[in-house]
Amino acid sequence: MEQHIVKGFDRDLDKIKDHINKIAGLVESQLAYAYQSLNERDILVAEKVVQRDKKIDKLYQELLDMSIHVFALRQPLAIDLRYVISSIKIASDLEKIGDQSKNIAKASSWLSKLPVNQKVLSVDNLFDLVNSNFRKVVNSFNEEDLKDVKAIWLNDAEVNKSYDILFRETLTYMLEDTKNIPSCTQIISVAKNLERIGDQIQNIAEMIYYYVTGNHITQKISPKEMKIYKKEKKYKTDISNIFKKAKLIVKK
Amino acid sequence: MAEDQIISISKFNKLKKSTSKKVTISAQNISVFYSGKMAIDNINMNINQNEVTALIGPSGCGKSTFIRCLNRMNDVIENCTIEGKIILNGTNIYNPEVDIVKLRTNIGMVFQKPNPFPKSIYDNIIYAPRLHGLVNKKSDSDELVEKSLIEAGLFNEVKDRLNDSGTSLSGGQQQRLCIARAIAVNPSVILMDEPCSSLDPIATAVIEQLIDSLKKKITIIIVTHNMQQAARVSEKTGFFHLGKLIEFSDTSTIFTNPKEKKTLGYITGRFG
Repeated sequence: MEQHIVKGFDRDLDKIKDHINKIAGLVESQLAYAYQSLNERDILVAEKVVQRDKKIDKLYQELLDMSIHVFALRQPLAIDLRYVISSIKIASDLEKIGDQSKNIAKASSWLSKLPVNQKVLSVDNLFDLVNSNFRKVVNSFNEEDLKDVKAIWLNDAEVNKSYDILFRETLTYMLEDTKNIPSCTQIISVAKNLERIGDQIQNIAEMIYYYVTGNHITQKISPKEMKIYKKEKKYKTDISNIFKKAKLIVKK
Repeated sequence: MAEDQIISISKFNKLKKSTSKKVTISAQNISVFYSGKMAIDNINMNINQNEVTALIGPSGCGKSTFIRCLNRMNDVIENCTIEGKIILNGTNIYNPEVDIVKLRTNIGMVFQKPNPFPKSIYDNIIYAPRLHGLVNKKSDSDELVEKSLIEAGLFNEVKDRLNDSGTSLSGGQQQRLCIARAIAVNPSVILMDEPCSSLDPIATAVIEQLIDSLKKKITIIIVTHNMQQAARVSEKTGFFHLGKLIEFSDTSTIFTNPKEKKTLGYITGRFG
């Protein structure tokens, strides 16, 4: 894209981009630390994640101020307008990912206090999926590159599938032995937060597509692709069936 | 009927709504030359009735030349030649038998700088209607002056001093007097060539509100350098560049997602 005649306008837009990157970098490290605290049952790392979340909130507020400044002083139009609006939305989604990382860290603190013989299921698969999509979406934002955006958007179905598998397994462990319930409920909480991060990443992909093209990504997905996506996204676990089993176990 | 030809009622109504706008002015293959040098090049544009159409573009792009074609104001410029047709309600205004005075009654014009006659406010309004024999009795004249000033949103400010000179008013009031003068002869179209460029933001807002209320009765075409103004007042916007109409579309499309790269560059301040 060509530069603006008024260079200050470009500087203001660049500042917004730098700020988004700052938030994204911090969120990425928060997610990594939350995962580390979970794997290593490290309560200190978990506390660090909780503390650092305030920094993300502050950066998000600064970005709002910057955007208001651009609206008031530059009156952006067309792609510039979409860029500023999308940046606010992207920063809001990043801030939520920060919150969800904090929730994972809190769950890790909980888990670290439990006896070591408690069964804790691995969330590696779900984490890897979410982490890889996060890196790709931040890269797409920086490069204004749409080649991965559609795949990232559709990949949310895979995240849901992975969450569903984990959820089913965790319920099975809880049904097997009630001693597993405390750890398993925390793992469900971690998995749910990761699944929600997947949704935020999908939102970011949507906003990148919108600001670059001016169109909505869902308009670019064929009915056939959408049908497959919706089918895969739907949870397969039938909770009512599991409750029936649980009742039987309790009766026994 | 083939299956692919069947459309839903809602789609039909939408289509009907989008195509049912009546065209007041149709510019067909308009080119203008000053001393043989091309100023505007093959412009085709349909102006819808009771809509505001804004023309934007950098200085010298031909937007003022174009609107001056719409009421034959370019006829008074020496060595100016015009090709093409301007169809107003079914008649080509460049037909030799068209009465130019009558045409300019039907298509009024407001200029960049307010230009009231050096006469009283009352006479400024009634001058043209008297000339065209639209009023005979004093009571009719009074009524028309009041009606025109009310429509121009000026009546309450000047009702006690109708005999004062039009030039004694403020810039914004003078411009509204010029609009009142134009609407006194009951035109179907008003052309506005940067009508707010010499006004402060409050006087500009009053004129913009006036444009919004006038469009219920009159078709308005406005040339403006202020893109926010074009966005605020118009339904359709045309972007001119180097004598060509680059893009003509709904105002919201032009300012949110223009199709042409040149339009995008201009409205986002990337080239002038």
